[in-house]
Amino acid sequence: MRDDISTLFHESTPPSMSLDPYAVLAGGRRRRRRRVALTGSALTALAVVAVAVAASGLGSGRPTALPANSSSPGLPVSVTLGGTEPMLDNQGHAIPGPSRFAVEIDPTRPDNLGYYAVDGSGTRTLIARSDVTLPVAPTGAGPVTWGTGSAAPHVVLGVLPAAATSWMLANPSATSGSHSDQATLGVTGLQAFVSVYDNATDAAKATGVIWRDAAGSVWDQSGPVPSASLDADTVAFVDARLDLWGDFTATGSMSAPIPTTAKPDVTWSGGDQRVALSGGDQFTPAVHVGLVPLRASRPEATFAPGCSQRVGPTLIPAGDGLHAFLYASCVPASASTNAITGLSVVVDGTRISS
Amino acid sequence: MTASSDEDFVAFVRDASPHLLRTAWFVCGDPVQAEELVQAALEKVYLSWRRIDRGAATAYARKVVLNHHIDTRRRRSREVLTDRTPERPAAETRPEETDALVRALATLAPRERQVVVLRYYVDLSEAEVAATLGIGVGTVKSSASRGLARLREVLVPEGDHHA
Repeated sequence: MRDDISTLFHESTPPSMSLDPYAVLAGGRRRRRRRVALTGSALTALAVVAVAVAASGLGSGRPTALPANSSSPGLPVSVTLGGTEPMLDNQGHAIPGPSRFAVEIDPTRPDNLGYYAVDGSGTRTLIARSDVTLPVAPTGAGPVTWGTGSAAPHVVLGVLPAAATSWMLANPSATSGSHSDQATLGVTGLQAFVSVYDNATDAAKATGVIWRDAAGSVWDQSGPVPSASLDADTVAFVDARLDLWGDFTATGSMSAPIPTTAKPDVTWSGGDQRVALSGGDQFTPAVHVGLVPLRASRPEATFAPGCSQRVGPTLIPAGDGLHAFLYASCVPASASTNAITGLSVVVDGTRISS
Repeated sequence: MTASSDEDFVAFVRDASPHLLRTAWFVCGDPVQAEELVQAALEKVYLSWRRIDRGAATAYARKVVLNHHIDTRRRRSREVLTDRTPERPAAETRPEETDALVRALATLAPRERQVVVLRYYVDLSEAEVAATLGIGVGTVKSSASRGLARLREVLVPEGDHHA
């Protein structure tokens, strides 16, 4: 049987499949840029710009107050997001539509929030208008708004509190990847964000925004989200409202649907190790986080040889009364080795492994 | 990433992708998903390209493909739908044995499928399979045994089993 199977494999005729190596290169560069953009310390300072605004588009229009802490009361505040070069999808094709955007808060208008596409000459074209309540409290949930417009169907634009150090769009139905960027809107207490999806249909499926602040609290647009700090950089959360769990780490973020099966179900994050390579032969820790039932016990982890500064495995209650996070971390010996090669817990007398 | 490093990476992708695509196809059973798996995995390889031992690059990429396959299955509870049909020949004909093999592989659990593909297509030793998948050699042995037994049930006609 073994020889027969090997023969079948080697004499098989696969369907036509191919990759464009330059598209792979472009995708890799995009991932590298996105990792930088999503790091909490990458929020950029804002330039205050006074612009003429086209009065058209969408918006609910609620009266808004001038930001009490604005350094330039009465002046619009805006930022640009994205860049001038076209954004590429996973196949290396340019994503249709604009790649550069502007978000502006104009406190003199009821619909004080404007989203624009910006062309190569810097000319703005209105995508949509909306409104956001000002001023923004320095802590807490804060206002969140996001939306799409027919002029840029691949794009989600929005604002969330500037106190967010990391954020993600909740979009469990999305089938494609996205580019993201964000920038602080001056002293409004807000930051603007953009996500550009490969597939236009995905932009309209976003269900919310989840973010963490410097204190390690996690929020979505409806309020606080059960969460736990797992280490100095890692916060994990379970958001039943948006049906997502995930984590924010030093090197990015992850989300996945919350398991819904009645029998004990265990979901694991990772797969590919999230290792931040800091240059030379130094590596920052690889972090593994799993979502397990709160009744899980006896966690075990298999650390790869040479993996140092081992932490865990530990079970940390998620704060929702239903789940716990299984956490393990270590510093790998090299980039080409897995740091943590197995995680498991016991649920109802059965050991379940990753 | 320097220009010469990028060109090295492009050359690596060009050389390694046929093998990686076939491996991914055997593991996931679908050519579109195989392309997506390998594309995403190689983009991740690019992030570590400067630090990877070139001699081990293919093995590393293969590991990322397989980890990404498992991770993708965990993260999605529904079939991934594309909004455009990949352009392929209208009727691809393959030998019946190939179709039977792919259908049979689909009956295996994901990890068993990976072990069988690595052992009998990629021709890795049990220790190499264990290192690639981050599992014990004992698990490789048992997964390969179960996988072969299952393939025997599906591929060999009843009454025609050999030891």
